[in-house]
Amino acid sequence: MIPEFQRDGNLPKGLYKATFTEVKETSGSSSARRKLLIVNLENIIELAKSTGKLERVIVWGSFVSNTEFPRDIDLLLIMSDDFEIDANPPNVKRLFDYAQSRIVFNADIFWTKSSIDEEAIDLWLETYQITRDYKLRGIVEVMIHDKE
Amino acid sequence: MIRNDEQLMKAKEAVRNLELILEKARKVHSPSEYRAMSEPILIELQQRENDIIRYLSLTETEVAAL
Repeated sequence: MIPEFQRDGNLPKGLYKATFTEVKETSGSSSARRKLLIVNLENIIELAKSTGKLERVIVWGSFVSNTEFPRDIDLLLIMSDDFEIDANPPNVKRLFDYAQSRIVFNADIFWTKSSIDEEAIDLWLETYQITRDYKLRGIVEVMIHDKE
Repeated sequence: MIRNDEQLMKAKEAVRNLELILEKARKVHSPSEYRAMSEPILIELQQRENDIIRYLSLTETEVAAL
């Protein structure tokens, strides 16, 4: 469940699990910009799921703050160990190309295989709970199997 | 932008974490996958390092005025 935003506009520090529907309600409907970005996020998740190798999706940054005009979506896709980019069609491959995904989806898509190990993923999630102005903030894990 | 020594420590911690993630990632991704997946992390790393350099280039007086 996603908590209330703090006074600085960010979520309180922590990793919050939420369904796509919850994310859409809290972050994808209050402005035209957000409506556009939530469609992009949905497309990203659907394409990543089409690989059959998607394990986790974690979103952070301005999209999961209360700003009306988030710049983009920052997210991490954790893929299973047997995921291979080249086994996928071009429209899926571009998810894993940083420059292309910025252009096509207005998203900074980070990705890794789960074999990087849990400790590294925990470090990753800890690091992105620190904003660029060095405040603490919360991040959201989208429950990919609960999407309605 | 780093404004004080506490934020400097957070920036250093973030840099170290990102370096560790890259070291581990290189071991489990193929060369072409590593090049792709490391790109946004390297950009983040560079930005955090630039923040540190910028902060450390200031004098005590300049830091106090931030």
